[in-house]
Amino acid sequence: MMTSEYQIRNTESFQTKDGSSLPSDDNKWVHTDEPVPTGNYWDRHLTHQLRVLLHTEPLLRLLRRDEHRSPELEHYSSLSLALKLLDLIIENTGLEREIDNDKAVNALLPLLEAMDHSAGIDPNIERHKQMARRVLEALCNDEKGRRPFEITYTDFDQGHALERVLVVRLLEERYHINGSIILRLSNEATNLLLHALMFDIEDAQAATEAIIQSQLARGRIHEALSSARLALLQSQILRDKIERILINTQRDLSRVDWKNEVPCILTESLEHIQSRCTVEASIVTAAWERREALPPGSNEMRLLAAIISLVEDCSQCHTELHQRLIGARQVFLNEQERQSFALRPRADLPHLLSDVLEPLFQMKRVDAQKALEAIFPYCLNAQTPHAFSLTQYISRQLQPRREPRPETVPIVQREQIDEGSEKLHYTAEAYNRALTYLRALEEPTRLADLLQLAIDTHESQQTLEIIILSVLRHFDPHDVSVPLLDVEKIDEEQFSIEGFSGNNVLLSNKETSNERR
Amino acid sequence: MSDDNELYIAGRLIQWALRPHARPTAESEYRELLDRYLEQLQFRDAVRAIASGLGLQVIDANLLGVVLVPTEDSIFAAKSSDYRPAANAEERLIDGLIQVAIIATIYPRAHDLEEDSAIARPPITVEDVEETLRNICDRLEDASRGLPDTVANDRATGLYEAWRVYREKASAKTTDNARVSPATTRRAIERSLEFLQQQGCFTHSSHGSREEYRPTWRYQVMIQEWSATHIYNIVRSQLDSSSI
Repeated sequence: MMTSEYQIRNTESFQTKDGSSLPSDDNKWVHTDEPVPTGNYWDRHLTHQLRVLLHTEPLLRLLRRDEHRSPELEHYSSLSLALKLLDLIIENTGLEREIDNDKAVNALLPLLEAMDHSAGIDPNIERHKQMARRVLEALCNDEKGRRPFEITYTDFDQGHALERVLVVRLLEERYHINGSIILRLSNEATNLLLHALMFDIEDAQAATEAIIQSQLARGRIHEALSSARLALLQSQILRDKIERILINTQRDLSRVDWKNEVPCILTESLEHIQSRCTVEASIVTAAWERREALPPGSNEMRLLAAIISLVEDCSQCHTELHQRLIGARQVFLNEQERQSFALRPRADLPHLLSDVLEPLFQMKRVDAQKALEAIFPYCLNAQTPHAFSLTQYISRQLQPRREPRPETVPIVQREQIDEGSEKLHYTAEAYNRALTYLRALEEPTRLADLLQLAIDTHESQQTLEIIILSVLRHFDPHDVSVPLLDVEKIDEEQFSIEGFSGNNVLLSNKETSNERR
Repeated sequence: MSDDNELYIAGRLIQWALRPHARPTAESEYRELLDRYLEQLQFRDAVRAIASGLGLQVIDANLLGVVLVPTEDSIFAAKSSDYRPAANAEERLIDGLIQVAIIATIYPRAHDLEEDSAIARPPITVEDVEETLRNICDRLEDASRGLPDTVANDRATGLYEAWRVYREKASAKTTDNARVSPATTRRAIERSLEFLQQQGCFTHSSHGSREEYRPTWRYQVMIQEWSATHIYNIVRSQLDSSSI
C-alpha cells in the first residue's frame, strides 16, 4: 500500500495484529495503547506539505462565508476580491506610496460593480465599500482581534496522532517609513501566492525575489525596481546581522553564544546565500532577456539596467557576506585568545536580554505569567496604598467650587467622539472577548463547557459575566435585535462554576443551526 | 530633642521618599531631613527601622534623595492588577514582558548595571522597546521554524511559549479616527512608559515626532541596586521549578 493510500481512521493509536508488520488489506485494526510505528506511513515532508496546504485555509474560509451572507451581498465573490487585493499589495510593495486601507477598498470597487451588473443589480457605492471592507477585515482576521488564523491539523509523532495548531497571518498593517499605516502581506502569504509549494514559505528574501520575478513577468518594471531595492535592503540586513555578531564578538565574547546560536546562524546563512545566488542569477537572466526585446534607449531599458545593477549588488553583497562567513570562526578563535584575560563584569550581574527576557519568552505561557507576577513589583516604585479618609472626603465634598480662570489655562481643542448617554459598566474590550467565544461556536455546546473554556483561557471576570448575560438575553429571542445564538433548555441539568450556577443550557450558533434546519 | 520627635521626623523623611516626584533641591524640609539622615547615624537607624517595619528598604540615599523599595509581600509592592485592573491573563503577560523589556533596553549589557547610577542613561523610545521585544520574537520564531507546530491541547491550556503570545499581537492597526489603536503592542509599550513616567521613573520629552523617555536617577538606582538581580533570581527559580 502506498503511503498516501493509507487511511488514518482515527486520531488515536492503532497497531496491527502482527505487531510491526505492514497491514494487509485483510487485516482488521485492533485498538491498543501501543504507538503505531508511523515512520513507515508518515514522512515529515507530508507534515510540511500539509502545513503549506493549510495556509490556503483562511482564503477558502471566505468561500464558505459567501453562503451565509445577507441576500443583498450574496452575489459577491469574496475570494476573487481577496485575491485582487493581495495581488494589488504585492504590486505596490516597496513603493513610496504603498496600499493602505482606503486604497485597498477603492481598488475593489470596479470589481464589485462588475459583479452587480452580472447579477442584474443596481450598483451602490456604499454597499460596495461595505463588502470591500468585509473582505479586508476577513483577511486581517478582525473577528479574532487581528490575531493570526489558527488552524488545527493532525500530525503524527512517534506513532501517536497529535492535534497541532498552525498559526497563519495573511495581511498585516505596518508602519511605513513616512509614518502612515500600510498593508503588507506576510512572508507566508507572499510565498503562497507566488511560489506555493516550492520554497521555504516563511523566507523574507525569497518573498521579495518572488515579487520581483512576478513584476518583471507582468512588465511592471517600475515596481520591480522598487522591489529589487527592497531585496538589496534585506541582503544588507543579513550582512549587518552577521557584522553585528562579529563586532559583538570582538567587543565582548561572552555576549555572543558561539556554542549553539552562532554556528546555527552561520550554517543557515551559508545555505541561504547559496540558494539566493541561484535565484538572483535567474532574475538577472530574465531581465536581460526582457531588455533584449526592447528598443534601444527606451525608458524601460534604463529601468531594467537599474534592476540588473541592483540584483548584481545583491549578489555582490552576498559574495562579501560569504567571505565574512568563511572567516567568522577565525574571528572567534582570535578573540577567544585575545580576551582570555580581559576584565569580567561581576558574576552576579545578569545580562537582562539573554538571561532574563529571552528565557521568559521561551517559557510556557503559564510559567511566564507566574514569573512575571512575581517580577512586576520589582519594575515599579513603591506604591502608596490608598486609604479612605472620611474627613478628607467630606471636606472635598464641602469645599467651594473653584473659580474658573480661563485666561491662565490654554484651552485645548478636544476631539469629539460619539458616546452613548449611558455609562457602560463593562469595557468594550471585554464585550469583544465575550463575543469572540459566542461567535466561535461551531457545534452545539453546553453553557458550562463554554464557561470552562473561557476560565481555562484566563479570561477576566468581566468577560465571564458578559458571556453569562449574553446567554441570558438570547434565551428570549425577542430580547435581542440581531440574535447570534440559539439558547435551548433541553433538560434539567444544572451547573456551578466559579460562582456562576443555573441551568446548563445548550448553545448553538444561529447561522449553523439555521443551516442545519 | 526628644525621641518622639526623632521618630516623627524619621516618618516625615519616609513620606518624602515615597513621593515619586519630590526632589530635595525643591523641598527645604526634605533637604534638611536628608542632611540629617546622611550626618547622624542614630537618625539613619531610626529611619531604617521604621521603613523596615513598613515593609520598605532604603537602598540609597545621597543629595539626590532617598530611594525606597518595597520588600517581598510589602503593602507598598505594586501588583500587575494595580496597573491595569481589567486586564486578562494575556494582557498581563504582555504588560509584564514590556516592563522587563524596558529595563533590558536601558541596560542591554550586564556591565551596564555596574555603571554609576548617577550617570543618566540614554533616553529610549517606544520603537526601541518594540525592537527589543520583536528581535527576540523573530529570533525565537526563526529557531522554531522546522519544528512541529504547537499541539492544540497545549494551546488551549496555555502550555505554549510566551513569545508566541507577543508575536501574535498586532504591532500597528488602522483606526477610524487616526488614533493609535489600544489593541497593539506599541500602544501597550506607550502606556507602560507613561505609567512609569507618572511614577517618577521616567521623564518625557518630544523632539519633533520623536517621543523620548529618560530614566530618572531613582529608577536607575532601583534597577541597578535592587531589581535586576531579584528579577534574574525569579526567572532562574521559575526555570528550575519548570524543569523539575
